[in-house]
Amino acid sequence: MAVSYGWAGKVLRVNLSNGKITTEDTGKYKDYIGGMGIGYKVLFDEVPVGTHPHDAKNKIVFGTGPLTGSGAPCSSRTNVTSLFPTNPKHMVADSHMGGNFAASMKYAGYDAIIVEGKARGPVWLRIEDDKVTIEDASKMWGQGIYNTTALVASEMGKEASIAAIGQAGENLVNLSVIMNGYSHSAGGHGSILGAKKLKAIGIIGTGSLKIAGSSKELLDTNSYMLKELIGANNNHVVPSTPQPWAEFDSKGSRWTAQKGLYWGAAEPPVETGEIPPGDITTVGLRTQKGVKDLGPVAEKYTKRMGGCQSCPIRCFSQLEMPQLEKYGVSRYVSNTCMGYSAPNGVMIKGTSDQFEKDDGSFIAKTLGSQLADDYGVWCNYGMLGREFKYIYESGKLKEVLSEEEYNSIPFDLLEAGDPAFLKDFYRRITFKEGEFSHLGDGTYWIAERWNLGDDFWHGKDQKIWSPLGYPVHHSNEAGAQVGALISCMFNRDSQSHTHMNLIGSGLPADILREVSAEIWGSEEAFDFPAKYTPMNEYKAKFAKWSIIRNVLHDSLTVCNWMWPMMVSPVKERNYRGDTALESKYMSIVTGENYTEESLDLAAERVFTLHRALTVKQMGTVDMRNEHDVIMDWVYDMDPDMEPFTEGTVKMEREDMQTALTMFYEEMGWDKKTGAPTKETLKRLGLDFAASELESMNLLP
Amino acid sequence: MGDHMDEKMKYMQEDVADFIVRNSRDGKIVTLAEIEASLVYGDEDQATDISQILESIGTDLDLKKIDDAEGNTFYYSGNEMTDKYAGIIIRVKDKDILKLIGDTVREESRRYPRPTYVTMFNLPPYNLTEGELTDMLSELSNDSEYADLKFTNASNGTLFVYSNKHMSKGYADYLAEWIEVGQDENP
Repeated sequence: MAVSYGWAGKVLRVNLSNGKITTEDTGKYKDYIGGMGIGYKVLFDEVPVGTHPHDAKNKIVFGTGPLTGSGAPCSSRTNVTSLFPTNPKHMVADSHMGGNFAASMKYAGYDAIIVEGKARGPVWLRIEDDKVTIEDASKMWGQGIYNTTALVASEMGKEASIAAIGQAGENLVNLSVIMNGYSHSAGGHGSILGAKKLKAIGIIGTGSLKIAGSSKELLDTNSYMLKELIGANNNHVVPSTPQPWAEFDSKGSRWTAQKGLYWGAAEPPVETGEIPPGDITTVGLRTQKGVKDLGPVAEKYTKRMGGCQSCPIRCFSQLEMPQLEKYGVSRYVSNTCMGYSAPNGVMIKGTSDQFEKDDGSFIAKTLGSQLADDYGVWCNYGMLGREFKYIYESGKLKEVLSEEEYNSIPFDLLEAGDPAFLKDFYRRITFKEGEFSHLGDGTYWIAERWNLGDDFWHGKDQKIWSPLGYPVHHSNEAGAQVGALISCMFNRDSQSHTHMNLIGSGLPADILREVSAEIWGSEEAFDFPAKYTPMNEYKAKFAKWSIIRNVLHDSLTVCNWMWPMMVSPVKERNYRGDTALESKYMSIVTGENYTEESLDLAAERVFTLHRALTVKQMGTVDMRNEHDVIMDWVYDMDPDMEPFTEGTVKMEREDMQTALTMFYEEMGWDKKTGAPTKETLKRLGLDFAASELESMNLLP
Repeated sequence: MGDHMDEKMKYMQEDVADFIVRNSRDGKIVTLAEIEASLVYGDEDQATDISQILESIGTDLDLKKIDDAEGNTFYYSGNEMTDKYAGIIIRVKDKDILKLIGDTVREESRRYPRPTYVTMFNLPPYNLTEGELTDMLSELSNDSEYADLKFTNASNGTLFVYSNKHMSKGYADYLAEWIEVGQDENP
């Protein structure tokens, strides 16, 4: 690339087998935007089918995009793409992490880092702008993520952004993470780095991003977004309590700011207050995530909200809890959402009060967060706790463990609701202690190993979505066929929040249906919650748009938990957002004339490439029957109720097949199989993929 | 003398506007008397027509008026407070609580749709005490005018009320459980 606006212009490639460090021009990836797009292109072109995730031939791509580090709100996501160890066919999947890492990459001069090969011994990658070296990590190997981060910082200085794996990644536990900034984790890829013997990446970037437009244009757009469009966490746009300024409110809203709700451990305590939209200095007060995630007892321990570079939302609670030191962990806690709920999900017999009234689950969540984050264990979006519950309560655990091992596990703590149980639980998984530790293999592999049958796979309580072994994640309970379709399309839980941000925004259904009509052509795109209707073409459009925008965000990179701006908290805007905002930022930053349509087309290209790669890796075009399959419980739940009755979110089998057909049509994929057609691949500029699939007899 | 009066008028306009805006932000609607009482200049020329001042500042703060059942007029800034919120305050003042609850529940059941968690009525602007709320809910159950209002509990014990004109029991049960438990389990 000549002068590069938005993009840094270079991709860093590090071969750990031969120690070669090279750079290449980002230009060849520009049609794929960045982030996820670069990741899928590299994996498609360079990683042979049948490669095991832990094999040296696998590659891992840390990707950013042209908006990363640009100062656009919520723009420091790192997309991580590689083969996925928990997937039965080890297909491509991406994870991502927030924090400062992505912005640091850009300021160091890189749009992506491709890591290939395998080092002979433990190493870490040191990047200081264009000075890149592979360093000895033997002193770090065996350390948790917290100590590793401190050790890298002691070498590079506190300005460094550091991503690391814990012992779980080192030990090739499938359920492991890569984490930066102590709490921002990318789930599922930790063992890839472990297999490559890459312990950490430290980056200092002293450069800057070139922006084509004027700073005034960028700042005015930021001001517009922050004053008129942005909501609270997950873009909820109404407060959680009735407030004078707000026409609507919703108990479940993450806009929890209210009188008498504080960051209680701040000095002095900070009241969140009643804060109408329009004041950009108060956006970060909207979500008191400590109380939202951890309950009322967390208020007095909450120091502040934390989060990612350039994000005003601050969705990570940061607490100081001296009582955690009793368990041998740090008193300083930072996490959000599933990072807390997942460890609590392991406490399958509930929790008991530990230090004060009603603090049982609070301690479980925060202690578990510390343990999992330091060891680097991933929860598979809460699946780990549900699997444990199944094998414990069904008696399977007693069956597969030796008597000696079974008796060595402190189940008395579990039964008593004592969160200290989590110390043993996470340690065993991390260090692969005994048969129990295979819980860290992931759903598909433990089902195979322990011969778990239909009642596991199709049991409603386990919430397994796909026979590929990944769980529900804003699926049928989130927008009927829309959520269900989205959940079928990736090779892991979809991590797609576009549709959920609208559904959960807190506005009444009539407004959401009006917005749906404006974006997707009819109010029929949007079902009332748990009052579902049969599939229609507008829902297919909604599903496609949701995925495409999610893919766009993971390529740009901006945070899909906040973007796109479909609705607004501002009554004077009639609560309407601005779905062209991504293209406005892209045009200002890159100087090129982007539109909503052109960006969506590029994202469609990236997503179709993902589909083509999935076909290639599965070795079949029959996506409908081999990939896009939903477990029976989704259709059989609530046996006394029919589908499309109010009060149930069960789906109907034939209707879902219709849904798939309509979705395939929207995507230009073969209507029978769901595989991308040659015509569509060519339309999207994916001729190379068409040729390769054709040579493998994998075109429909 | 003319300049002095103009300057004083300007101060009074600012103070009146500020008083109304502050109170509106704080969830309060104010009477003319309260506005007047807030203006303390220690000056015998204070006998100024507040109504005149209100007219002159009306547009700036989207000044709105609302009357209670006895004809008392209250003021608020439409920039800071919605008509809906002001309307609830008035109905609470008028002790029209039962009908307020009934109307609120029916509207939420129809529009969102969702059942209403009863402790919402302890919060501003409703501000019912525990005892008052208990009494209201009991009255609701016994009044044929509100026969469509039914109760349901989420599994964590939170009590909801809904209108069966707009949702079935099964639907209300599902939504209550989703609001209280389901959303947390699907973050």
